[in-house]
Amino acid sequence: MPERVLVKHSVTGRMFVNSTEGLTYSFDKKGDLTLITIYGVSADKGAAVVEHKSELNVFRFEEPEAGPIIKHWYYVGENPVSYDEAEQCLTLSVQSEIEYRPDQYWE
Amino acid sequence: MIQLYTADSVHRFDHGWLKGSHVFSFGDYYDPENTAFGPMRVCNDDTISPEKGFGAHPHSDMEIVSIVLSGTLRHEDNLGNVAESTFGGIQRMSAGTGAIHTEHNPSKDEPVRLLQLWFMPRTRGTAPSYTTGRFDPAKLEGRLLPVVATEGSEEVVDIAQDMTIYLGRLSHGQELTFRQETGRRIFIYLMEGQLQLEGDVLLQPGDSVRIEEINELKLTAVESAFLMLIDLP
Repeated sequence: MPERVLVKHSVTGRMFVNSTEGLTYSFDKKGDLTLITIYGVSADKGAAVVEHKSELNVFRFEEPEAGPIIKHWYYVGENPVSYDEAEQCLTLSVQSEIEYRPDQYWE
Repeated sequence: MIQLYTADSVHRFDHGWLKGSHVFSFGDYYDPENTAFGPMRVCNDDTISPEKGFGAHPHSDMEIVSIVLSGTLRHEDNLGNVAESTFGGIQRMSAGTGAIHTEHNPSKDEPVRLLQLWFMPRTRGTAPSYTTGRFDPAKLEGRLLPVVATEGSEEVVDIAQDMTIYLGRLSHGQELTFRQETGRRIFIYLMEGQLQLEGDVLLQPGDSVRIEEINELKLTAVESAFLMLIDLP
Protein backbone atom coordinates (compact mmCIF):
# COMPACT_ATOMS: atom_id res chain seq x y z
CA MET A 1 0.00 0.00 0.00
CA PRO A 2 1.39 3.44 -0.84
CA GLU A 3 2.53 5.30 2.21
CA ARG A 4 4.71 8.23 3.18
CA VAL A 5 6.42 9.66 6.24
CA LEU A 6 6.35 13.36 7.09
CA VAL A 7 8.11 15.39 9.76
CA LYS A 8 6.64 18.84 10.39
CA HIS A 9 6.94 21.62 12.95
CA SER A 10 4.01 21.21 15.31
CA VAL A 11 3.42 24.94 15.86
CA THR A 12 3.89 26.51 12.44
CA GLY A 13 3.19 23.44 10.29
CA ARG A 14 6.48 23.88 8.42
CA MET A 15 7.37 20.76 6.44
CA PHE A 16 10.86 19.55 7.37
CA VAL A 17 11.00 16.10 5.77
CA ASN A 18 8.74 14.42 3.22
CA SER A 19 9.59 10.87 2.20
CA THR A 20 8.01 11.36 -1.24
CA GLU A 21 11.10 13.41 -2.10
CA GLY A 22 13.10 10.27 -2.82
CA LEU A 23 13.77 9.26 0.80
CA THR A 24 13.56 5.81 2.34
CA TYR A 25 12.79 4.93 5.93
CA SER A 26 12.50 2.14 8.47
CA PHE A 27 10.64 1.58 11.72
CA ASP A 28 12.38 -0.56 14.36
CA LYS A 29 11.35 -1.41 17.89
CA LYS A 30 13.89 -0.65 20.59
CA GLY A 31 12.52 -1.50 24.02
CA ASP A 32 9.58 0.78 24.76
CA LEU A 33 10.50 3.09 21.90
CA THR A 34 10.26 2.90 18.15
CA LEU A 35 13.16 4.21 16.11
CA ILE A 36 12.13 5.89 12.88
CA THR A 37 15.15 6.20 10.60
CA ILE A 38 14.89 8.30 7.46
CA TYR A 39 17.66 8.04 4.85
CA GLY A 40 18.74 10.62 2.33
CA VAL A 41 17.86 13.68 4.43
CA SER A 42 19.87 16.78 3.49
CA ALA A 43 22.03 18.46 6.11
CA ASP A 44 19.91 21.61 6.37
CA LYS A 45 16.71 19.62 6.89
CA GLY A 46 18.36 17.29 9.37
CA ALA A 47 19.64 20.24 11.36
CA ALA A 48 16.22 21.91 11.33
CA VAL A 49 14.54 18.78 12.70
CA VAL A 50 17.11 18.43 15.48
CA GLU A 51 16.79 22.12 16.33
CA HIS A 52 13.00 21.75 16.71
CA LYS A 53 13.03 18.26 18.22
CA SER A 54 10.73 19.25 21.08
CA GLU A 55 8.04 20.49 18.67
CA LEU A 56 7.62 17.86 15.98
CA ASN A 57 4.64 16.23 14.32
CA VAL A 58 5.80 12.90 12.87
CA PHE A 59 3.34 11.16 10.55
CA ARG A 60 3.01 8.01 8.51
CA PHE A 61 0.13 8.14 6.05
CA GLU A 62 -1.24 4.92 4.56
CA GLU A 63 -2.94 5.82 1.29
CA PRO A 64 -4.74 2.81 -0.19
CA GLU A 65 -5.78 2.85 -3.84
CA ALA A 66 -9.39 2.33 -2.76
CA GLY A 67 -10.51 3.36 0.70
CA PRO A 68 -9.87 6.15 3.14
CA ILE A 69 -6.45 7.38 4.21
CA ILE A 70 -5.17 6.05 7.54
CA LYS A 71 -2.94 8.41 9.47
CA HIS A 72 -0.44 7.50 12.15
CA TRP A 73 0.97 10.22 14.39
CA TYR A 74 3.97 9.58 16.64
CA TYR A 75 4.91 11.33 19.89
CA VAL A 76 8.60 12.22 20.25
CA GLY A 77 8.41 13.97 23.62
CA GLU A 78 11.83 14.13 25.27
CA ASN A 79 13.24 11.13 23.40
CA PRO A 80 16.38 11.38 21.26
CA VAL A 81 16.39 12.90 17.81
CA SER A 82 19.69 12.82 15.92
CA TYR A 83 21.10 13.47 12.48
CA ASP A 84 24.19 11.86 10.99
CA GLU A 85 25.41 14.20 8.26
CA ALA A 86 27.91 11.71 6.84
CA GLU A 87 25.19 9.09 6.37
CA GLN A 88 22.43 11.67 5.67
CA CYS A 89 20.41 9.73 8.20
CA LEU A 90 17.81 11.21 10.56
CA THR A 91 16.73 9.10 13.53
CA LEU A 92 13.69 9.91 15.69
CA SER A 93 12.82 7.95 18.82
CA VAL A 94 9.08 7.92 19.46
CA GLN A 95 7.29 6.58 22.50
CA SER A 96 3.67 6.33 21.37
CA GLU A 97 1.41 6.38 18.37
CA ILE A 98 -2.12 7.49 17.58
CA GLU A 99 -3.77 5.92 14.56
CA TYR A 100 -6.74 7.83 13.18
CA ARG A 101 -8.93 8.01 10.12
CA PRO A 102 -9.89 11.58 9.19
CA ASP A 103 -13.03 10.33 7.48
CA GLN A 104 -14.34 9.19 10.89
CA TYR A 105 -14.32 12.80 12.07
CA TRP A 106 -15.82 15.96 10.59
CA GLU A 107 -14.10 16.77 7.30
CA MET B 1 8.75 48.25 28.29
CA ILE B 2 5.77 48.16 25.91
CA GLN B 3 6.21 46.56 22.45
CA LEU B 4 3.34 47.39 20.11
CA TYR B 5 2.37 45.07 17.24
CA THR B 6 -0.21 46.88 15.13
CA ALA B 7 -2.92 45.06 13.21
CA ASP B 8 -1.28 46.23 9.98
CA SER B 9 2.07 44.73 10.97
CA VAL B 10 0.92 41.21 11.82
CA HIS B 11 0.39 38.41 9.32
CA ARG B 12 -3.08 38.66 7.84
CA PHE B 13 -4.58 36.07 5.51
CA ASP B 14 -7.70 35.20 3.56
CA HIS B 15 -8.14 31.62 2.41
CA GLY B 16 -11.81 32.17 1.58
CA TRP B 17 -13.26 29.82 4.20
CA LEU B 18 -10.78 31.08 6.81
CA LYS B 19 -9.74 34.67 7.36
CA GLY B 20 -7.79 36.26 10.14
CA SER B 21 -4.44 37.16 11.59
CA HIS B 22 -1.49 35.49 13.26
CA VAL B 23 0.22 37.58 15.93
CA PHE B 24 3.06 35.01 16.26
CA SER B 25 4.65 32.72 13.67
CA PHE B 26 2.04 30.22 12.50
CA GLY B 27 1.14 28.30 9.35
CA ASP B 28 2.88 29.79 6.36
CA TYR B 29 4.03 32.81 8.40
CA TYR B 30 7.43 32.15 9.90
CA ASP B 31 9.61 34.81 11.48
CA PRO B 32 12.31 33.36 13.75
CA GLU B 33 12.27 36.68 15.67
CA ASN B 34 8.55 36.35 16.42
CA THR B 35 7.84 32.90 17.83
CA ALA B 36 7.01 33.42 21.49
CA PHE B 37 6.41 35.76 24.42
CA GLY B 38 7.31 33.77 27.49
CA PRO B 39 5.27 30.57 27.26
CA MET B 40 2.83 32.13 24.79
CA ARG B 41 3.34 30.78 21.27
CA VAL B 42 0.15 31.47 19.27
CA CYS B 43 -2.51 34.18 19.13
CA ASN B 44 -4.73 33.70 16.11
CA ASP B 45 -7.84 35.80 15.47
CA ASP B 46 -9.75 33.48 13.12
CA THR B 47 -13.09 33.80 11.35
CA ILE B 48 -14.38 30.51 9.90
CA SER B 49 -17.15 30.42 7.29
CA PRO B 50 -20.34 28.44 7.89
CA GLU B 51 -19.90 24.66 7.75
CA LYS B 52 -16.12 24.98 7.30
CA GLY B 53 -13.24 24.22 9.64
CA PHE B 54 -10.16 22.17 10.41
CA GLY B 55 -10.27 18.42 9.84
CA ALA B 56 -8.64 15.89 12.16
CA HIS B 57 -5.16 16.98 13.20
CA PRO B 58 -2.80 16.34 16.13
CA HIS B 59 -1.39 18.42 18.96
CA SER B 60 1.08 17.66 21.72
CA ASP B 61 2.67 19.43 24.69
CA MET B 62 0.65 22.61 24.29
CA GLU B 63 -2.20 24.24 26.22
CA ILE B 64 -4.68 25.34 23.56
CA VAL B 65 -7.42 27.81 24.47
CA SER B 66 -10.25 28.82 22.17
CA ILE B 67 -12.30 31.90 23.10
CA VAL B 68 -15.41 32.23 20.94
CA LEU B 69 -16.24 35.87 20.18
CA SER B 70 -19.26 35.27 17.93
CA GLY B 71 -20.96 32.33 16.27
CA THR B 72 -20.43 28.68 17.26
CA LEU B 73 -17.35 26.48 17.41
CA ARG B 74 -17.64 22.69 17.54
CA HIS B 75 -14.79 20.53 18.86
CA GLU B 76 -14.46 16.74 18.62
CA ASP B 77 -11.45 14.69 19.69
CA ASN B 78 -10.09 11.15 19.94
CA LEU B 79 -10.52 11.27 23.74
CA GLY B 80 -14.30 11.17 23.22
CA ASN B 81 -15.01 14.85 23.87
CA VAL B 82 -17.57 16.71 21.77
CA ALA B 83 -18.49 20.31 22.57
CA GLU B 84 -20.05 23.37 20.99
CA SER B 85 -19.28 26.83 22.33
CA THR B 86 -20.76 30.28 21.69
CA PHE B 87 -19.80 33.69 23.08
CA GLY B 88 -19.17 33.23 26.79
CA GLY B 89 -17.71 29.79 26.09
CA ILE B 90 -14.08 28.75 26.51
CA GLN B 91 -12.50 25.51 25.27
CA ARG B 92 -9.17 24.29 26.67
CA MET B 93 -7.23 21.32 25.38
CA SER B 94 -4.12 20.15 27.22
CA ALA B 95 -2.49 18.19 24.42
CA GLY B 96 0.16 16.48 26.58
CA THR B 97 1.39 13.24 24.99
CA GLY B 98 -0.96 13.75 22.08
CA ALA B 99 -4.54 14.22 20.98
CA ILE B 100 -6.36 14.40 17.67
CA HIS B 101 -9.18 16.88 17.18
CA THR B 102 -11.35 18.73 14.71
CA GLU B 103 -12.66 22.27 15.02
CA HIS B 104 -15.40 23.51 12.76
CA ASN B 105 -18.31 25.90 12.39
CA PRO B 106 -21.52 23.85 12.55
CA SER B 107 -23.76 26.77 11.59
CA LYS B 108 -25.33 26.82 8.13
CA ASP B 109 -25.27 30.60 7.85
CA GLU B 110 -23.26 32.33 10.58
CA PRO B 111 -19.48 32.68 10.62
CA VAL B 112 -17.63 31.97 13.85
CA ARG B 113 -14.94 34.31 15.14
CA LEU B 114 -12.56 33.03 17.78
CA LEU B 115 -9.26 33.73 19.42
CA GLN B 116 -7.08 30.65 19.48
CA LEU B 117 -4.19 30.84 21.93
CA TRP B 118 -1.38 28.32 22.50
CA PHE B 119 0.85 28.22 25.56
CA MET B 120 3.70 25.91 26.47
CA PRO B 121 2.66 23.88 29.50
CA ARG B 122 4.36 23.93 32.88
CA THR B 123 5.19 20.24 32.47
CA ARG B 124 5.58 18.27 29.25
CA GLY B 125 4.54 14.67 28.70
CA THR B 126 1.34 14.67 30.76
CA ALA B 127 -1.84 12.81 29.86
CA PRO B 128 -4.00 14.80 27.43
CA SER B 129 -7.23 16.36 28.66
CA TYR B 130 -10.03 18.65 27.52
CA THR B 131 -12.53 20.88 29.25
CA THR B 132 -14.96 23.66 28.53
CA GLY B 133 -16.20 26.50 30.67
CA ARG B 134 -18.55 29.42 30.50
CA PHE B 135 -18.36 32.93 31.88
CA ASP B 136 -21.22 35.45 32.20
CA PRO B 137 -20.70 38.15 29.52
CA ALA B 138 -22.49 40.65 31.76
CA LYS B 139 -19.57 40.36 34.20
CA LEU B 140 -17.15 41.76 31.61
CA GLU B 141 -18.43 45.34 32.05
CA GLY B 142 -15.97 47.72 33.66
CA ARG B 143 -13.49 45.12 34.84
CA LEU B 144 -10.95 42.48 33.86
CA LEU B 145 -12.72 39.16 34.39
CA PRO B 146 -10.49 36.07 34.76
CA VAL B 147 -11.73 33.36 32.40
CA VAL B 148 -8.73 30.98 32.33
CA ALA B 149 -6.27 30.48 35.21
CA THR B 150 -3.97 27.99 36.89
CA GLU B 151 -6.64 27.36 39.50
CA GLY B 152 -9.99 26.76 37.86
CA SER B 153 -13.36 27.45 39.38
CA GLU B 154 -17.00 27.53 38.36
CA GLU B 155 -16.52 30.29 35.80
CA VAL B 156 -12.76 29.97 35.28
CA VAL B 157 -11.23 27.24 33.11
CA ASP B 158 -8.04 25.72 34.50
CA ILE B 159 -4.80 25.57 32.52
CA ALA B 160 -1.51 23.79 33.16
CA GLN B 161 0.62 26.92 33.21
CA ASP B 162 1.24 29.75 35.69
CA MET B 163 -0.94 32.37 34.00
CA THR B 164 -4.34 34.05 33.86
CA ILE B 165 -6.41 35.17 30.87
CA TYR B 166 -8.72 38.12 31.50
CA LEU B 167 -11.43 39.58 29.26
CA GLY B 168 -12.92 43.02 29.83
CA ARG B 169 -15.23 45.65 28.41
CA LEU B 170 -14.57 49.29 29.23
CA SER B 171 -17.02 52.01 28.28
CA HIS B 172 -15.89 55.28 26.69
CA GLY B 173 -13.58 57.14 29.09
CA GLN B 174 -13.44 54.35 31.64
CA GLU B 175 -10.07 53.69 33.29
CA LEU B 176 -8.62 50.84 35.23
CA THR B 177 -5.19 49.92 36.55
CA PHE B 178 -3.73 46.42 36.26
CA ARG B 179 -1.14 45.60 38.90
CA GLN B 180 1.52 43.10 37.91
CA GLU B 181 4.12 41.29 40.00
CA THR B 182 7.76 42.09 39.36
CA GLY B 183 9.29 39.73 36.82
CA ARG B 184 6.06 38.81 35.07
CA ARG B 185 4.81 39.66 31.59
CA ILE B 186 1.58 41.15 30.25
CA PHE B 187 0.08 40.48 26.80
CA ILE B 188 -2.89 42.53 25.57
CA TYR B 189 -4.98 42.01 22.43
CA LEU B 190 -7.70 44.52 21.55
CA MET B 191 -10.75 43.06 19.86
CA GLU B 192 -12.91 46.20 19.64
CA GLY B 193 -12.73 49.93 20.26
CA GLN B 194 -9.72 52.05 21.18
CA LEU B 195 -7.59 51.58 24.26
CA GLN B 196 -4.84 53.81 25.58
CA LEU B 197 -2.05 52.41 27.73
CA GLU B 198 -0.20 54.60 30.20
CA GLY B 199 -1.70 57.67 28.49
CA ASP B 200 0.72 57.08 25.66
CA VAL B 201 0.26 53.94 23.51
CA LEU B 202 -3.03 53.86 21.57
CA LEU B 203 -4.40 50.49 20.47
CA GLN B 204 -6.83 49.92 17.60
CA PRO B 205 -8.70 46.65 16.95
CA GLY B 206 -6.29 43.85 16.08
CA ASP B 207 -3.37 45.57 17.81
CA SER B 208 -1.47 43.74 20.53
CA VAL B 209 1.23 44.63 23.03
CA ARG B 210 3.89 42.67 24.88
CA ILE B 211 4.77 44.32 28.19
CA GLU B 212 7.59 43.69 30.62
CA GLU B 213 8.97 45.51 33.66
CA ILE B 214 5.77 47.41 34.40
CA ASN B 215 4.11 46.88 37.78
CA GLU B 216 1.13 49.23 37.33
CA LEU B 217 -0.50 49.52 33.92
CA LYS B 218 -3.14 52.19 33.35
CA LEU B 219 -5.77 51.30 30.75
CA THR B 220 -8.14 53.97 29.37
CA ALA B 221 -10.95 53.30 26.88
CA VAL B 222 -10.78 56.11 24.31
CA GLU B 223 -13.78 54.42 22.73
CA SER B 224 -15.72 51.53 24.26
CA ALA B 225 -13.19 48.74 24.29
CA PHE B 226 -13.26 44.93 24.40
CA LEU B 227 -9.88 43.50 25.32
CA MET B 228 -8.01 40.40 26.37
CA LEU B 229 -5.18 40.75 28.91
CA ILE B 230 -2.96 37.81 29.80
CA ASP B 231 -0.73 37.64 32.89
CA LEU B 232 2.28 35.46 32.01
CA PRO B 233 5.45 34.33 33.75
